[in-house]
Amino acid sequence: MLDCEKNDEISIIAKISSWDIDAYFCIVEKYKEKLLTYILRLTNVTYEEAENLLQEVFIKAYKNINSYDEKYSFSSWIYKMTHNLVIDYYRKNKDKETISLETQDEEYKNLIDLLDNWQDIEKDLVKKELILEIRKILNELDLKYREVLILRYLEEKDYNEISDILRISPWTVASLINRGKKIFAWKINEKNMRF
Amino acid sequence: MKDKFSENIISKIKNEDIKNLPKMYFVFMNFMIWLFFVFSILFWSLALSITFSYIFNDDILFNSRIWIFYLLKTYLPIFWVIIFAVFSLLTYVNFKFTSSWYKFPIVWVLVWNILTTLFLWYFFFYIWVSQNFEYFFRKNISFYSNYLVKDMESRMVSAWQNPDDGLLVWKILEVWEKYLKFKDYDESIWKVDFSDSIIRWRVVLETWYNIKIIWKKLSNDEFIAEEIRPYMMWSKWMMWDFETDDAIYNGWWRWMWGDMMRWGWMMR
Repeated sequence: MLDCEKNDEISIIAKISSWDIDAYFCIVEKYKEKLLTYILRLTNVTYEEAENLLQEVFIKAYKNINSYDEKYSFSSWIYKMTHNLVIDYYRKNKDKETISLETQDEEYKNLIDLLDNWQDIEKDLVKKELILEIRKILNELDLKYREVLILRYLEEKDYNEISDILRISPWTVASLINRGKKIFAWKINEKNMRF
Repeated sequence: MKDKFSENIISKIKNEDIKNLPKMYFVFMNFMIWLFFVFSILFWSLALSITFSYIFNDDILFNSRIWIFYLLKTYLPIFWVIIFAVFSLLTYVNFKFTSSWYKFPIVWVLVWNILTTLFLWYFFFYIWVSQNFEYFFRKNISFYSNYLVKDMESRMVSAWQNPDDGLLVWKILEVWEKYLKFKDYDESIWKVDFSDSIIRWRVVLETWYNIKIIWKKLSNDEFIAEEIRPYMMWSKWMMWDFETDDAIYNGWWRWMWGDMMRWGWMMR
C-alpha cells in the first residue's frame, strides 16, 4: 500500500491514472470526512444517505480522474464533483423535511461569528436549539445563497475556490455571499433569535 | 463514518472492475465542445447576417413612406430568426460546458459575444458567405424556397397592395409615352402617369414586368407615380428576384460594382 504521507497529491493522481487503484486509497482517506460534512451541510439527507452519496462521488471521481486539470486545485475539482452530485440528489428530493443533526456544533461557529456583525451575540451560550435554528434558516435560503455561505463560512474556501467549485465568476461569488449574508441576518432578526 | 469506508471503496472498484476513462477521451470531448462552440457562433452570426440583409433592403434606403415596422412586418425572415434563436441558445449551453469561461463576469462574456458576432456578421457579408449560404438554401431546399421565400413575397405584396395609401404592386400591362397601364394584385387596372416620377435602378418599364409604385391621386382617373421601384428586393448585400427566384449577384466584384452603381444613382 502507498504511503500517503510521503506522496503529494499530484503524484498520487498520476499513479491512479496509470491504473494504480491502491493509490486512490490516499485520496479517499484525505477527503472522506470533509466531503461527508459538506454533503450533510448542503442537504437534508440522513447520515447513511450521505455516506451512499459520498461513495457515489468517489466512484465517479475515480472514473473521471483523467479529466482533472492540474491548473486547478484537486480539492476544488472533487468538491465540484460532490456539489454536482449533491445538487442532482437535492433536486430529486427537494421536499424532504429531515434536518440532519449529525454535524458538530463547532462547525457553525463561523456563521455565528458572521452574525456578530449585526447582533449582540453571546457566543458562550451557543446551544443545540440555536444550531438547529441556524440550520433551519440555512435550509430556508435559496440554494444559490446557501451553497456559497456554506462553502465560505463552513468549508472556509476562498472566492476563487468557490468560483471553481460552483463554476461561477468570483464576482458573482462575492455578490451572492453579500446578498446571502444580508438575507441570513434578516431571517435571524425576523425570528427574534437570541443567543 | 463507517470503519473501513476507504477500503470498501477500493474493494468496490476492484471487484466491479471499474476503470478510469482515458485522458484521450476527455481531450476529444473538450475538442468537440470547442468545435461545437465555434460552429454555434458561426451559425449564429450567419443567421443574424442573413436576417439583417433581408430586413435592411432598399425599401429602407429609398424612402420616406417606409418605416422600420413595415420592414420587420414585410421582410423579417422567420426561418433565419428561428435559426438565430436556436443557435443563441446552443451557444449559451455550449458556453456553460467550456472549461474556464465562468471565471469572467457575464457582462464581459456578453460584450465579447456581441463584438464577435458583429465582426463575423460584417465579415460574412463582405465575403459573400451569408448570401451564398442563403442562395444554397433557396436552390436546394424546396421547403425553404417554396414556402418561406414565397411567404415573404406574399407579405411584401400585401404590404404594397394598398391603393388608399398610394402603394401599388404587380404587373405592367402596357407602356406608352409617359403612361403605364397597370394591373394591381387585386386585378384592378390603373392608368398611371410616370412623367415626373423617380424611377429606381433596375426597374424595367416593359409589358409584363413586375414593379412597385408609390403614387399620388390627382382626381378619380388621374394618378401620378411619384416613384417606381423594382419588384425584387435587394440590399447592399443581397439581391433576389421573386419572378425568376434567382440571385442577381453572385460574386464580390459584382457586389462592388452594384454598390458603386447604386450610390451613384442615389446621389443623382
